[in-house]
Amino acid sequence: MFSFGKFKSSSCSGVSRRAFVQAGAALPLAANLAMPESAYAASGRAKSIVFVWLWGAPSHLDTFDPKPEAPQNYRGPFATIPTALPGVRFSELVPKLASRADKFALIRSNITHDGGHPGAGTFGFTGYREGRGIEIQPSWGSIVARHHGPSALPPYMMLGNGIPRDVVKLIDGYGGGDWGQAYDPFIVKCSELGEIDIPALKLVDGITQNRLASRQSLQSQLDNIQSSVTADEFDKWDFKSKQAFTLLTSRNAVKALDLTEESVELRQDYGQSSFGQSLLLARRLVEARVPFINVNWSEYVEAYTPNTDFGWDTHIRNFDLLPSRHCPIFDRAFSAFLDDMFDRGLMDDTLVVCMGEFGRTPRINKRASRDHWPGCYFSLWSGAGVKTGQVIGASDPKAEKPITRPIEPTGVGVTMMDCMGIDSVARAELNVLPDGEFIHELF
Amino acid sequence: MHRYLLILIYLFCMAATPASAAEPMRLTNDGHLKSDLVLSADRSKLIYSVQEQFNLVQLRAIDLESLESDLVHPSASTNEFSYSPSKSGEVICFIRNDGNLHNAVVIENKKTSKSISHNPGGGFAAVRRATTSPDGSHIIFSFPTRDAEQQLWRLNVDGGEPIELTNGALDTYPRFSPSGSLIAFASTRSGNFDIHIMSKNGEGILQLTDNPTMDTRPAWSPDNKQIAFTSNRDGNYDIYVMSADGTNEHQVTTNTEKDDFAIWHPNGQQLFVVSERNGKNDLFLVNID
Repeated sequence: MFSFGKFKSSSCSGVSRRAFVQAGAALPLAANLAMPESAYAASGRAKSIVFVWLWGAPSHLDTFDPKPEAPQNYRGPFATIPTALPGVRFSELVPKLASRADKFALIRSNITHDGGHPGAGTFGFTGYREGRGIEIQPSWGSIVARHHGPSALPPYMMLGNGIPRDVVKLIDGYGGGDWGQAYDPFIVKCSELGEIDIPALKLVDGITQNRLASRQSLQSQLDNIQSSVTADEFDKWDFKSKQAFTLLTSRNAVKALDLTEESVELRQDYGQSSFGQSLLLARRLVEARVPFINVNWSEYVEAYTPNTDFGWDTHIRNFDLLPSRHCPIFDRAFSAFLDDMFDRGLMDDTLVVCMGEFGRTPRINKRASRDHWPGCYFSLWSGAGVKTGQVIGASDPKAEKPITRPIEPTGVGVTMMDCMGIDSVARAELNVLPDGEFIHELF
Repeated sequence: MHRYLLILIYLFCMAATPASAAEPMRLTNDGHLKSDLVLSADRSKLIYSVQEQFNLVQLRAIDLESLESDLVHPSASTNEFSYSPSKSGEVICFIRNDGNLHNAVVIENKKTSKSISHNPGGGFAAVRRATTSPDGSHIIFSFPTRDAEQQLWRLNVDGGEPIELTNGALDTYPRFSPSGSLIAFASTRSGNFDIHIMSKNGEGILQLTDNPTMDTRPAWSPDNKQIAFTSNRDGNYDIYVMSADGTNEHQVTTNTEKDDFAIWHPNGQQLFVVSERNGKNDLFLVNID
């Protein structure tokens, strides 16, 4: 049952709380469900969102919120460098993004309310807490998918190495939550060479050639799939398999997933990394008008754990991994992505948001590293009318907490949803995101 | 006529291009992330850590004549780093990622046929960057035990309790000089990572570089007289070389992408480096002058 009365969200479209509560309450349930989706679609500035998730949580002090005046046991060993913005300095580990600081807005006052990865991950994907007895809210992508409705390509696509998790469990909030798997993301794995792997196809009997490495194999696979599946067989599959099949029998959809369509030079610009090639794939999906694309840095949070894929969770060797591995990959790939998106004119109606689930302890720990810190972290925003070249919010001299208005996960969600035209009335009707303050400073 | 003109232009361009001998020589072409270079004891192979799979870093050895390469431990199922042999090759050590955010030093002693794992035990353990003394008697590694410090430790190859050599800063990337009398390392005792040297017993620490951005990953020349290192002083990782007393610093690489993890060729005139070219990380051999 909807409960409009609890909604407190503000909106950039100017709908007051009283107005949307009254509007929502005045509508019977059936009328809400029947409301044409096109009525919502016009209000948004963005046609797509690219949500770049730095899973494991990068240190804010060692990247975008350095504190060179803090004591040595806080500031760490890295120098600061000037950026494209006068008076704004980043860590020496992100020089390419420093020179592109005019292409995004930086928020230095994000906070969250859970100090563990899965919990903070669910906050970061839904705005709300996970746990026993608590309804799992739908993720941002699931809300967008439901609002958008069916399309040639799945409306919520997740790129990288898989669903974000730690060695113990998945993020509960990665998908449709209590709405069910129909609103879960469509997962596309992308290797460092840009090879595509669709896990849902592994569930389908008779379809085992699911490595989409070249144009030739894509085409031959497409033909094989179409000729090998009967209608009776199709009816027996589960939702995910049907979705995968439908995708791969659409030539335009397959084309969107084919990175060999890109020039060698551009693929090189993004770098030979799963993260870089996933960002390039995200750009292609923006062009194909997929409304919500989540690019994950890694599947696992852990930085040094057997059989995991080197997340940002640097409880050990933070000052070793960041300069020798993580930051060079991130700096190159995200810079190339911003350049490419702006060069192609895609940022006018695409919102790009890049963040992790929290920051890392400002005080260096006894392992000469940094632990979890939900009290203060950063996010990067660009496109869809975002006023770039600005720093929003500030942290205290040790980067322990914001000294300006804290930006909560619900605020991140409300802002993204509003940009997609899912305003407070639409959210009320979907019964999602009752809280959250739109980040007006971005626009 | 037109064909002859093209040939003349081609010949002119060839003459104007630097001799190919001066160009870096590419040794690999897979583009995977690489680090922790070291020469084998007989100097015939270059051994390095490489991200073989998205979730697995392994040790690989490339033959410097044939450029054929093999995994050092083909059956390894966990990450391995920082391979380091003694001068005779009878003792080697490397870092093994034994558990969740947990690394250990593995020491293999062919003289005694013993293999031991120095594992600090329990919970997260940040052992990393190990190096074997040329005479095979000791291992030096970096491991933090106190707030905001990361010390260098010396461990007998037969095990026992490690001895703390440094304190008061983040110290890492220790490298024995070929003579075994000195250790070069990166340290934050000056405020940021700079190159330092000290005796093999941890005495007489001397700062060699003084640059506000990062100087790290020192590597001794075969004659003990020079040290190569990575510096971020121009906003891009490049390789520099200096005399072992910190003088005569000069830049070796000018690639617009990263150059990192240098070690010396036995001829003392060239360096092996991990160089990022067109987004791929590969091994190159570069001339110093």
